[in-house]
Amino acid sequence: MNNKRNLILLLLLVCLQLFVPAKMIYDHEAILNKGKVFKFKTAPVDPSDPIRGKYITLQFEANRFYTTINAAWYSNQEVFATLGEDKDGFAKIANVSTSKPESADYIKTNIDYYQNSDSAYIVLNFPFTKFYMEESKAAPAEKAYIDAARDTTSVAYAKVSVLNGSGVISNVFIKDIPLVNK
Amino acid sequence: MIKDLPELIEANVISQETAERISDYYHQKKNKEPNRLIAVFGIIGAILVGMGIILIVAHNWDDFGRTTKSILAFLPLLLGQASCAYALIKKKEQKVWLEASSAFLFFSVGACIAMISQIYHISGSLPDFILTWMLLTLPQIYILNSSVASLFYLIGITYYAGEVGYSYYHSKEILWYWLLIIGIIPHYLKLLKNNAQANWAVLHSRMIPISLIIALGTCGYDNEELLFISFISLFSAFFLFGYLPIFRKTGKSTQSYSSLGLLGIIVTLIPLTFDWIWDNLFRKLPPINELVMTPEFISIFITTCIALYLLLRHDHIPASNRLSIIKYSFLVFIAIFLSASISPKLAELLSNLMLLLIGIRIIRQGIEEDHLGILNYGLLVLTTAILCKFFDTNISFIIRGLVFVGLGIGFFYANYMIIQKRKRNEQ
Repeated sequence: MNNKRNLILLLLLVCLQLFVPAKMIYDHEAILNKGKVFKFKTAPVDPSDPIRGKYITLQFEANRFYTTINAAWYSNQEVFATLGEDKDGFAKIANVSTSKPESADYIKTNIDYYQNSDSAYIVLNFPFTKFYMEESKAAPAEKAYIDAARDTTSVAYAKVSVLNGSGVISNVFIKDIPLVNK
Repeated sequence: MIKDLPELIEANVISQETAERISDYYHQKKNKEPNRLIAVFGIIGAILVGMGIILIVAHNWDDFGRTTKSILAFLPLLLGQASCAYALIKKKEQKVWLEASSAFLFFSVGACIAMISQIYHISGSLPDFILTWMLLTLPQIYILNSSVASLFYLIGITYYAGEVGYSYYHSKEILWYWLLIIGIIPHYLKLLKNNAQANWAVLHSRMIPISLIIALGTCGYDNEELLFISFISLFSAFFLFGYLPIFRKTGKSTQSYSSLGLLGIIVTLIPLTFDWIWDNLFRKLPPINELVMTPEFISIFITTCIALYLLLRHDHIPASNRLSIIKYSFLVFIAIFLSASISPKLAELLSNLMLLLIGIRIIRQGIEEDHLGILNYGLLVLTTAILCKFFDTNISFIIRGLVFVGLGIGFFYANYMIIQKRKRNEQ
């Protein structure tokens, strides 16, 4: 009897253990398939995670939003960043609000810090900053990145699909060449 | 032993029947031992394979497409789940099957979500990842009655507490740890009830207090000094807990709670014998209405309540034990801490006296038990207490030298006395 109960419980656990990763896949596939693609100009930082392997951290250039002095922004505040595109076709922050935008493409994120000075601005954290790579490729990729940053003519950017407040990086490009061939 | 049996029968030391029973006993014991070895190697094997899969996953296979990678992510998970189901249905009596499958499943859950994180470049922090992993594996402990899963779960949540509490400053996520550690308690109590001396119970008895000590440190924010009280209360609770009847049979190995409690109290007291800690203490503290809402104060409240409950309702320390006085440490220390509001010097003096008194008590217990280890432990505590004062005050070198010589002679004398006493007793 006890064993039967345990088996049923195990079955439930199996379902749960399968459901959580499956839901992760489903949600992210939905963003990649249905989301609008933005190109975020980026700069590189260093990699690694003890369990999930090597990655490069992306630091996006368009992370500032100019605002008014003495506004009610604070660090870690949850905000919605509406995205737009600049004249070169790269993503920029068109607006930041504390309530969910009705239409338009937006990202749910938080404020890194609020610079309350003459030209007041807020700096946003982006919820997509890690780009995982095969371990042998991570170091050369980082180097290519640094070289690209030195070379003012080359542009590094990440392609990010955005849907319902979430974003998923599909690839990173340096001079329009993808870092990962998929 | 078995070889000597015929000789013992011949000499009429034991009967034929007794000899057979002894022989049977050793044969049975011998048969049991290989099983234990297989169990140990089986479990270690499963752990290694599981960890290996995590590392292989961490390589991050770029050559495969998203679909292939996703299927690969689920493969070890399904294998682990099938193995657990098989163990539960067919190999219910064999603990090793359950434990090894459970260990494998534990790691494959981690590998699966790690791989999906890679595929979709999910940027969630490492603590978030560990939290998901631990929540998904917690039920395993109970469904499979698995102590391996429980130990790894404990390591996982302790790592989580360390990451969240020490690296991410002021993170409220640390509350998760306290909820998660409660999740392990029913399993631990069951282990203790079955046999507190069994290996699994002993391992849990060692790791749970260490996890709690690490996590308690994360309660320190702006008023970290208050954590001294929390720690002394926690260690007093450990001290009392180790004397519960459930541990009585188990002898030294699971007395670890009491030893750890005593050691913890001593180590916590050492920095408090210096004056600089006390000097600015009460000037820094916020007003009482703000203070009661701080994590430090809440941690004091909870640890002290637990220690008080054990002291009033479950005090099983024999009155003859010279160390039984240690159980009052937390009450004495709270008084000392409060005395600092009147005079920091007084608190410093009382802390020194407390440490000295504990040292003397341990020495006396060592003498009474005729135990050189305990005696020297006490002497070491006493010496530390005195040495700390040396760094703290401006005493002439001559006096310092004389005290050192005195301490050295004390060590020799005390050990010599015990050895002499033993010789007399032997005669």
